Amino acid sequence: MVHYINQFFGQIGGEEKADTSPFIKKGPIGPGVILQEKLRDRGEVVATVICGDDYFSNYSGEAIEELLHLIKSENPEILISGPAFNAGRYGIACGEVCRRTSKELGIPCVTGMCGENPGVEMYRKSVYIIETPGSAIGMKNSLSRMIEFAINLFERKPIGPPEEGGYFPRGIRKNIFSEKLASERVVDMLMAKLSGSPFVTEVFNPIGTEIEPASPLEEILNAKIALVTEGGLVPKGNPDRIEGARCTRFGRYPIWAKGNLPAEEFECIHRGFDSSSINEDPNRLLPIDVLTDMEEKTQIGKLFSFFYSTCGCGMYIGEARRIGREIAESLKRDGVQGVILVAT
Amino acid sequence: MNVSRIVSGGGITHPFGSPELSPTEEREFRKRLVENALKSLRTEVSVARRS
Repeated sequence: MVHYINQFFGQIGGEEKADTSPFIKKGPIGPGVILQEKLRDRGEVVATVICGDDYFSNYSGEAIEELLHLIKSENPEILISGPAFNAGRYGIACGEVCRRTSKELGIPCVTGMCGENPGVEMYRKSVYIIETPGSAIGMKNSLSRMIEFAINLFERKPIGPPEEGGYFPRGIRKNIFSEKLASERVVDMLMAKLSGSPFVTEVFNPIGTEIEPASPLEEILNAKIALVTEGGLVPKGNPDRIEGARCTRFGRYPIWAKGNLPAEEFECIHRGFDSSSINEDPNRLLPIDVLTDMEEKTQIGKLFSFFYSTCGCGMYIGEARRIGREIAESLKRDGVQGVILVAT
Repeated sequence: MNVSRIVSGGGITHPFGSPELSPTEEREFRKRLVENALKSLRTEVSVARRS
């Protein structure tokens, strides 16, 4: 068995060592020691492969090839990554290492994350991800479940549906025999719901988090207002190569000239709708003409001189959360108090 | 999507516009939408809406 971990769990260091490039050490390290305990005499952690989170995220192409080379050199029969708990960059690295290793070596690969980790949405369909708590307090229990799951895969034993196996749903539907018809089951479910009893739906809604509404803006006359959009408006030529679908990036662009968003300077790269009327007049997406006017008439404090843009076409929810978080952090640094988020 | 302050716009392909109007009318239409958006920023919202 080979174990993949980051610089922190590999006992190299924290954020200051996150640029560590991939390397391999014989035997278990850190959480790998617990892994070996749980394995008992059923197997051996022959090596630990380590890579810094920044290195993986900044040089993802090179990093994964280097890691695969190291993993292959040990000829493992099982690969375990992490667990990454709620660490985003680490979760994405664990997911990608599992995905590529299982594709190229055809061996069971298992990782662990908590539901909020962006790696879950990105990799749950291609990788077995065991659900863990949000922090390393859950290390022993998580590793124990990951190792038993991996051994089951290795021995080709049935793993059961996600809620029994403790892994995130992979979007696979399996036919099973049920003693009750769908019509009976749905009425049972409705009766349970009406009487306040617990029930389990057979069709899961992937959107689950509740978001606390922000407190109202009290002094609009002093507020700095910014425009943010998922409508894919970018400077002509799309300098940051914002993707028109399944987007992973956002841009922060200066409002070209106050009071004006000239059509010849911008273009809409959204691939989910007909963008011609926005291309004709970008103010139809970002109302900069009106807001500038209001600023001059002191009906608002200030229109922030940059807008943020990404493309919400077929975007993964995990990516959308990350992009939203990064834009919000940037807006805070910019001292913005209110945002008009324009959705197409 | 659990968004608590939503203003209905001009449509998917032109949320702050209405191309069938004359330029002056469209600008007026856009102004009303912006005013609605700013009004909703000033509005107290107590409970997150469930999707």
